[in-house]
Amino acid sequence: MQLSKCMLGLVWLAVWASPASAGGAPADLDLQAGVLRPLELEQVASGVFYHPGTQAEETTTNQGDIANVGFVVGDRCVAVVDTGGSPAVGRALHAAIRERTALPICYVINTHMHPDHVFGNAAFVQDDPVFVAADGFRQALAARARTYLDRLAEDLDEPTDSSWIVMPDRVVEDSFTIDLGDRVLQIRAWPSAHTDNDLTIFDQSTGTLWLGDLAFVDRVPAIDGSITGWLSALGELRKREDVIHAIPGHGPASSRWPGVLDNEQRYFIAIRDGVTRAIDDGRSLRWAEDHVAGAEREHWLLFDDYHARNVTAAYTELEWQ
Amino acid sequence: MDRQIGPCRWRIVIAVLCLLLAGPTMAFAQSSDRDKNEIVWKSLRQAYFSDKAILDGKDVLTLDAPYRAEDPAVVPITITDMLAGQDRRHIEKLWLVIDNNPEPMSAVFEFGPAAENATLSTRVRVNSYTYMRVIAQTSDDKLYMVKRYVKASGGCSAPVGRDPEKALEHMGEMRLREVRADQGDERLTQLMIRHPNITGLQMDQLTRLVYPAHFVDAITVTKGNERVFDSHMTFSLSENPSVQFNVRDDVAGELTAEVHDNKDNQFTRSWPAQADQRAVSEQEKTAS
Repeated sequence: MQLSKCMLGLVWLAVWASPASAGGAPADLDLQAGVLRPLELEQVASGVFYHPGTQAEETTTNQGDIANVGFVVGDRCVAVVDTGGSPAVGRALHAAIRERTALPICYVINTHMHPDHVFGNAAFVQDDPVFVAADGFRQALAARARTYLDRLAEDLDEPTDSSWIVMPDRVVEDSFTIDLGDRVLQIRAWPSAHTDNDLTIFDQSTGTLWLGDLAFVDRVPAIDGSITGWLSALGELRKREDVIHAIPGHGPASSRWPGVLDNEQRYFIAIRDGVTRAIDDGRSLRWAEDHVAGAEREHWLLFDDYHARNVTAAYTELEWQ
Repeated sequence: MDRQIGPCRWRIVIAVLCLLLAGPTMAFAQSSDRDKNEIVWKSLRQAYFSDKAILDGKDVLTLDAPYRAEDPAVVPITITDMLAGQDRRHIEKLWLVIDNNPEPMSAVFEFGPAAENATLSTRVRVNSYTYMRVIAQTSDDKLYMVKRYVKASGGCSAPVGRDPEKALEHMGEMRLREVRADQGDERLTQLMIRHPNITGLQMDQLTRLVYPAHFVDAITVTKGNERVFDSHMTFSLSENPSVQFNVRDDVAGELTAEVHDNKDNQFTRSWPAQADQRAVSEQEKTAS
């Protein structure tokens, strides 16, 4: 507790001292409006709640609430799974948790380092939980932090600073099991797929699998790791027979298992095969961006924002195989 | 993996970093308007070309770059030599400038007798909205310039490689492929180099979590005894650098690529003139 206080003091000092808040205006829109509206939750199974993020890019309206976030409640304490795209979303999630339970928050698990999943972490520092992420998370986030903060400052039209970056206390290399009190969560780290630091979380007692961004539903996936790695991860995940509820990183939770992964898998196979043909034909990266898997367009939200980039990622990976 | 450092200590470190970080971050965010880009260019122009006239290059070369960079870590660009095939004069040297990158002067290419022309494609990193420009020096000692405005975009992206570990593991591996030009029937030679090309600049205040700078800084390609090109570059080239160029068919001998990086590693690889180049791929690391 003592340490926690010292920490808070430092964060406060840092925020106070940064030019971002030097004007004295509260950075947080909730405070300006005088209300903190808790996130709307859906209960997936007993003690398992998630909030479906908006299927959009970050805007001033959604405050970065574009990814699925949620939590699992045990007898002893609560584990949060991802925290949203800004401290404001994190606070709204925190408030939603407090509407359901007064148990302490003992873990905050980040499924990977993307800003829409982790920039609400700051709202949980006060609870002094153990922040858990995959090995590789620290390095991946550190390398991109400045870009993320600058871009979000524009997209959210709000000052951002490095208090938004909360690094894990505990990193998972392969697997890690936590007990929330009669509620065991199995955390598993994956080889490079969506990113190089993906985690999935399985709640044994309800058969709920949190897939993080290994699963995109309706919203077009974004490859920031490895297309071949992602396809193998999907192949491996599909073999699981113990999954009753699946919670993707984007899009609605589903009990269609493993069918919930079908569209994503089809999309990646179309890219992989199209890019492989382009490379074999001596076609350039630019050509591939314009010609590969365009027919997938009708199946996905935000296709034009991510598809060409996915082709680039696949091309630069597959040209070395 | 064991917890190496207590939760609070980590957070103290991060919190202290806020103090250091907030200033530079804000300054960085404001540096994206076009006027400022021109200011960057003016000082570079003075440093590299002093008062020498730089003419409009539209009849000498073109620069093709996407207006919207899909992945700021991998922006494909093509410089097309419009003097190709002319006897009167040719392009001898190209400078690639990306105004808003941490080191705007990104690459310099000098062509030799084994180059068919100065047409060149590569992939670069773009740090933010920026002008990208190419200055050409012709054999009659004149300078020409073309420029394009490029918007970096993409929700989750940053100008960072996706898998530096893997690139490091295979560092120095090279491949040579024959590829098609996007327009016309031309065939280009593509040199691919495995290298993480780490900028080391990604977030100064978290440097100890990020690899230090490690990037290819020179590439020389020769055919037989003749030079195709000599080049020097910064970390503006993407992870696993790729360069496409035109080699003269009527120059005999092996094609050799010599690659140097900022940690003084030297990688050399040769390909027989007529071999099926696509099938060839192995690494020869001669010094480290």
